[in-house]
Amino acid sequence: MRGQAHTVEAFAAAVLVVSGLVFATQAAAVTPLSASTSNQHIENQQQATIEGLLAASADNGNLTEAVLYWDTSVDDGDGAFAGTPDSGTYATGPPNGFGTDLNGTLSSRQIAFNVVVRYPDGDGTDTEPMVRMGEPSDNAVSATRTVGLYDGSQLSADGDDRSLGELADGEFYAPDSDSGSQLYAVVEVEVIAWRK
Amino acid sequence: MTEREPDRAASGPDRGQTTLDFAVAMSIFLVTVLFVLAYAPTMFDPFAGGSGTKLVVADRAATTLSADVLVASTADPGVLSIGCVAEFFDKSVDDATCSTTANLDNLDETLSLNGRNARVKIHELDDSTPASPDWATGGLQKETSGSVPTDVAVATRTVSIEGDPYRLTVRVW
Repeated sequence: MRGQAHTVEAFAAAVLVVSGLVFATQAAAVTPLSASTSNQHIENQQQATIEGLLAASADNGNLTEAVLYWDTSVDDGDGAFAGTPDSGTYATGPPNGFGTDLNGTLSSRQIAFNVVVRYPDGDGTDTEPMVRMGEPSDNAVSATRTVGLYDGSQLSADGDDRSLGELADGEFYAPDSDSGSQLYAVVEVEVIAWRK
Repeated sequence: MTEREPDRAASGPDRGQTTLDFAVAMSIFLVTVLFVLAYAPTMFDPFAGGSGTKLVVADRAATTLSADVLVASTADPGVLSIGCVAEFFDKSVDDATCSTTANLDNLDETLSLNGRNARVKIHELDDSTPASPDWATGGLQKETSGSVPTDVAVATRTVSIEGDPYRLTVRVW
């Protein structure tokens, strides 16, 4: 029995030393064990990057195209973003210009993102998810951009060039917020990004 | 003499056991201590790199360029004027002018570098080499002359030039 005394003592010492380290790791706010290794500067850069991405997409029309990339026939007539799997959301950038830019800017840098479209519905707002890569981490950042849709805005998915004004009620995800005017609705595109 | 034989025989294996025990114990302890010593510095990695004021200067410089100095209209940050971009990177584009009042030739003054070094680069979204669009001869890169980068702070923005998205990076050291 005395033959193992030192070994037992060493195990006790090792447990003490490691538990000291674990305690310190738990006490610190951001460590390699946190959900996302991030700091304020990186979060700022990610936020500025997606704000710029939304500005660039709004400038060249990609953002409007992505919002109107709607297939009215799928999902038992409820419609979904064109080309999505059964879940109704893309798992990566959508197959249009906006998606290409999202993939080029964020996916290639190991940044995951969700995209949701928020639209007015009755008295409040409702959301239509466009891209879902998972649950954002604690260090996620987001940026939004509003897009105006008009009665004359045409759907951008292949094989359907009807305008929003020609669609029946319920075919498009957002309802006509003011049927008397040319403005169909103002929707808000939100990109939430976090490090994988 | 003959009475001490059993003692010596007994103490031999005992001493051997003690040494082995001590060796095992010491190696367990030392391995643990070495692991902790090697691991502890990595806890602070997220906070290291581009320390101090450089981060702020780089971020400020990127904002200045992408939202003020190079833009077509300050109401539309991120959408750059091709004339200003061309002038900033010393390219010439027909029928494109820049209306900014900033001194685009002097990087230090425009970006308030205060003696620091900087490199401004515009590149394709998924590429790290300077972009060379049709209208420009050579890559879009500009830097203060002088030293080699050491500890660098980086700030990035997504910008739009003529409808195409690009990545703008500012490195400060």
